[in-house]
Amino acid sequence: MFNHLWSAARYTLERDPSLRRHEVWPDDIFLVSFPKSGNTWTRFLLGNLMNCDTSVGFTNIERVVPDIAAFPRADFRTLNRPRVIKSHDCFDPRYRRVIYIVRDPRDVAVSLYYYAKKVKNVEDSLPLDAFIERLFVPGRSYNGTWGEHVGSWLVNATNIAEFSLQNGDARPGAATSPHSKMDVPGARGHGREFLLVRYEDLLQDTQAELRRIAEFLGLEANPEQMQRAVERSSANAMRKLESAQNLQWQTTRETRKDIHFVREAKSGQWQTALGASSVAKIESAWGHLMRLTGYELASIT
Amino acid sequence: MFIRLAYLANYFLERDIAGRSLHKLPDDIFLVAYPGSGGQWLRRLVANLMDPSNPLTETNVIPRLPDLYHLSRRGFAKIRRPRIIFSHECIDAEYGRAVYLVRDPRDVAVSFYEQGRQGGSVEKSFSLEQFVSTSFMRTEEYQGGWSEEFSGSIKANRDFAYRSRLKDGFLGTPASWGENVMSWMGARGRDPKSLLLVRYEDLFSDPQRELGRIAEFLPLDEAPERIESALQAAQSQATPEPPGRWRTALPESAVQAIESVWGPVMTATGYALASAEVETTMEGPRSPAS
Repeated sequence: MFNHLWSAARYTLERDPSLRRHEVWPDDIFLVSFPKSGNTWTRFLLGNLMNCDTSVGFTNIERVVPDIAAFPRADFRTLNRPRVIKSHDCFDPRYRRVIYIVRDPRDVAVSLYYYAKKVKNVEDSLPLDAFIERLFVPGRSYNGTWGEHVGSWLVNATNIAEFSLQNGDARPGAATSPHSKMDVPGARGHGREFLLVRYEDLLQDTQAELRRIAEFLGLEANPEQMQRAVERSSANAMRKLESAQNLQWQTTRETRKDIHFVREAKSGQWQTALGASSVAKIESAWGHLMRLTGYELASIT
Repeated sequence: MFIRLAYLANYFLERDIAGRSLHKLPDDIFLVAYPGSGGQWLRRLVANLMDPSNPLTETNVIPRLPDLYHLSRRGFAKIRRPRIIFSHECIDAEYGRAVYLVRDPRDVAVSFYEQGRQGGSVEKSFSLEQFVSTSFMRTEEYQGGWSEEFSGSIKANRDFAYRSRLKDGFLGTPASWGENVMSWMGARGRDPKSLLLVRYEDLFSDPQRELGRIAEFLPLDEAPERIESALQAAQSQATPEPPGRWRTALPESAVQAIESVWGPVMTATGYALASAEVETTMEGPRSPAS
């Protein structure tokens, strides 16, 4: 009964998280990704670029680049436009301007494992390869599986044939090409502005990728401002902020403090962390998407 | 504010409409179709198959096979599990398993137009051509708006009593035909365990076989005589439209508009393009046979 009253009161006062009830404005920009794909880092990069005077930390990130799953509905109306909003939602037709971050699913799986332990979603003794088994089951979570998430956002009229296999039986014209180009995944047309960012590219040349994102947003920034945003959002800077502020950020407040939110901030961890059978499972389920986004498969040629 | 207080009362009574934010149960199965795709026919077929000894009537369809847009939270809690639920939504990752009914978008346009005129959501003065160019193909914004706008039958209910049962008016949105189909194919097109793709045209031409596949997927008893009686019951309630009505009903400009945007999606779902047919005819004289 108390829960009932509490959620009704929150709804009436619009203190509930926005999510599907979010009132989308046409100039809203959504920073979308599957969890553990570098979204928080990108939030920091953007936050620091948009607010050159004050440094962004876990205490104020929710106001600078709010999370659609955490920020209260009422407060969304008080933000400056255009709003940049973080979201882990699967394809939502209402989002018109989208920055989509994709990361190698093998690394996402490793990162997700440590995060699940941090937030005590899995028993501590669960081995990584047993955890991987759970990642393919549809219908278990609001955000979907990695394949559902990435597929729902990156499919378009150009690459739809890659997604049209039913029981291995190709529909007429549904041939799979071995090397799908990266040209326009997700740029679905339909008046939607869509920018695809690979986490690995962001790691490799942060400034260049940040410049692409800034151009997409129409943000004017000189090289010094870019440089400063990159430095203020470095893994080291974010680790320091995390240890100072992890009790003030609602994402980490009630989680284990011995596993960090900002972890390795590297790519290719899967090569040592994942067993061959886990790699094979990921690649057989999502190989078509990995090819589409330029990740080389280890188990399938 | 008044409507919000009314909602609050409905919320306490659990009379608020479930809509897109329905609390899903792990064994829920969804029937999904874009409006105008013959979803109600599929729904009748499946509902009859669930209980062939009790043919469907207008009044028992919702308790047997509810849709997201009319039943309250309390109503959903009373539905016998495993629930089979009807939806028009784009991909929702919380749907564990879904049967997706896809139909030739050229026929969808004709059917959607007629339904809209009947239900009052499309103006009587609107021609089919206008409907296609300004509404059906208006893909730069999500179709139909935030809430009950998209379906004539729901729009007919747009009184205060109904609206006060909606969470700030947001039921969901089917978006455009292409986005709806692509969102499901993109997410689950390669996973036949979580998505069963059924074409309206196949269901029309071989209903026994297609309903058998659906029964196996759900799963429901797939005995041929059950399927036969479900088919007969549904047939006596309403006859499905034959495929290909667009060939006579849809103006050429509308056909072109649809094919130029969604041609590859149509090809991937097995619909031959009229623009390709023209090319074949033009190549005709050059072939050795002629």
